[in-house]
Amino acid sequence: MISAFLSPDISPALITIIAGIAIAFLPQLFRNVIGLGAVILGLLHLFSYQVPAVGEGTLFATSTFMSMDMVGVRIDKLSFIFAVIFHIAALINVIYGWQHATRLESSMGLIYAGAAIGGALAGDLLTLFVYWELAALSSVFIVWAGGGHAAFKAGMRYLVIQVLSGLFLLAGIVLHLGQGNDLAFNAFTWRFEDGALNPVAILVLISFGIKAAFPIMHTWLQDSYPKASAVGAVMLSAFTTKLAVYTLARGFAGVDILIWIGATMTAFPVFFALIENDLRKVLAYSLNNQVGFMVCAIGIGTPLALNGAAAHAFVHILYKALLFMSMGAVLVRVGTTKATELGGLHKSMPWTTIFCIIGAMSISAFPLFSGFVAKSMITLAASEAHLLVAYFVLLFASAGVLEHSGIKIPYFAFFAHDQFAPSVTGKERPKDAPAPMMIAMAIAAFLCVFIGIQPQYLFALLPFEAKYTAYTAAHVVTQMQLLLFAILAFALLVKYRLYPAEIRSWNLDVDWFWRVPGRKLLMWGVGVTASIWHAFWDFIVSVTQAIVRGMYATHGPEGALARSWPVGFMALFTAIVLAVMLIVTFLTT
Amino acid sequence: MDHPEIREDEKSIWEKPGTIRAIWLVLIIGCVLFAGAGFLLAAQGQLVYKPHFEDKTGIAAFFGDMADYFPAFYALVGFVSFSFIVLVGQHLRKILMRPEDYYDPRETEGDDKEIEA
Repeated sequence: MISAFLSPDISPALITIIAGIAIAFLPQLFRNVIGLGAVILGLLHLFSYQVPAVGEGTLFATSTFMSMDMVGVRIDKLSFIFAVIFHIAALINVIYGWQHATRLESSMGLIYAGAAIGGALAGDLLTLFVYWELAALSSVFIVWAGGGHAAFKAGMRYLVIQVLSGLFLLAGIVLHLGQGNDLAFNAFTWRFEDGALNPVAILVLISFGIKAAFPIMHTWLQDSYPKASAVGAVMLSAFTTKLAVYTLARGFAGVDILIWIGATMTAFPVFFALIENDLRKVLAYSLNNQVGFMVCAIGIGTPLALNGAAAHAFVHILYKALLFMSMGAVLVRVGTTKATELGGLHKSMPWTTIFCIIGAMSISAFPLFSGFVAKSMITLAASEAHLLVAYFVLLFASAGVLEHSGIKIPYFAFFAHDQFAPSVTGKERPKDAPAPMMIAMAIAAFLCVFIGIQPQYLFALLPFEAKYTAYTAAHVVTQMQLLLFAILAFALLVKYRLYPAEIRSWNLDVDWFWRVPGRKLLMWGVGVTASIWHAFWDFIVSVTQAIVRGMYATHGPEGALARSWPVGFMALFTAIVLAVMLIVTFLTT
Repeated sequence: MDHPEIREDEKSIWEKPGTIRAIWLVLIIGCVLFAGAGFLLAAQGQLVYKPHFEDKTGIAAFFGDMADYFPAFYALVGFVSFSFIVLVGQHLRKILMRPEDYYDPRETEGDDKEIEA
């Protein structure tokens, strides 16, 4: 029915992007209604496509640009599931920001969502590049909208790194074309037949890796997301890294190195999350860890693993958004998300507490919650591929997820030490979340539980054919063992006061290397360049001055040649006229 | 950091000693139940429908066999991993911890946002 008035050549991404541009000029109610309408329209439009298997994608919006074939929309089961979840995330964002999103945030939020949708549907590399950069440029405004000096500077760093990712992609594309390939975006050749690594694949992998926040390239995420507003952080959490997961699944499925990159990604943020005080920054580290599961699954590359990556991206967007939303509600009501300043909020924010716990149980992969049905696919795929070390790392990281997202977030925000008792503060307790935020959290929480109980609807969307049953006795028992004994460890550690207290602090990450020594090196470089330039300029100036002084001595008012100025001038003028006449005559003949 | 004592009537049900004891009880029963279920499933040959790590040798074979055959393997992994993360992880502070305004005194400016009542 939608196809009756929307041609399949119109990308669902364009609907959201155009709406995002249009609403920038409208009052808030219109912004919200049009935003909601556009996302729903885009989703309905998306569902009007037939969805073929991966590798047999149908292509729309094809065109030729400088004799290269461009494909605006490629629909297959892999692009479809990512486009669907990006729409759902956009929908939740609009509702969550109903009251609190600024003009800039609601507009850029839609454009950003549209860029992610467009990137997932892009059938060629140049179209992908355009959406890739659009996602960077639109999202930086969301970081800046957080307000203040810190958000501005973090936004600048974010922009530099995001654009750098685009440059790597562009360089890869150019080299790819130079190798005689067409523009189509499919799996890259990782190694040539002679065993040499393909430089194109390396460049593109770096580009995708930056956006997926691979280890060492990850700091932009922790740097920028916690500085966005309550609404902005929810918007940011959904798109950039998961678009990168999609492109990795499309371009690098089964590339071994991703197993180890992914495993590293799951493990190291666990420690940073433990000692981090700002709970939204904890969530940013947790995001890193979750994307690690997906990257590892893509590296394993079996149909089951790739389904696991897609399913995990799908459920992760929902529960991560839910967790960021609950922290956003706390930020709006309390003014901070620092654990040292929080505690006891369950007494006056009971709904937010419940939603946060649903998100926490989903991300920790409790049975009956969405994380369980997706993550066990990845761990199962790792064990079926006999990857012992990776399997152990994933199990270790699962306990880590429980620590920072499952327990730390809800415990320190809503329980722990009551910081808001009226007898202590002399003020009323903070109120529960505003209604629109509550509705958005309820939708996300419902989906987390629904997918956990009825996973078959999610499984129907998965890109590949793979036999998998989520709820076997063994899966449930092993996962419950892991979770309950980890909680037991937590309870004992707290009881015996071995659990570290939260401290107001800043913990260094690898970005120290470019923010301190790197900056010094840069400043030194700038200093050296400047002094070389000054020396050069002084030289030019002194030489010119010497020449001018010399000429002045002879041609100046007191100079020897100035004595016969009128005669000399006439002679010179005649000579010039003659010269011009000569040149004109020469040119005309 | 010292936390001021709140009044008794300001405590919620989740802060009453009785509830905390009940939580402990549920947790311990849960642990025993699922660890026991692991042994039960293993006795019926359902815990691992096929061993995944039989090709390993040396130390890997030991861990592989644990994963494949030890019925409380996941309980062990959960407990040990969690304790390791907390007990070892907190020492990272000695290396990494800095004052909040380490990079820029103005870095913490917009941190505390306005409160909406």
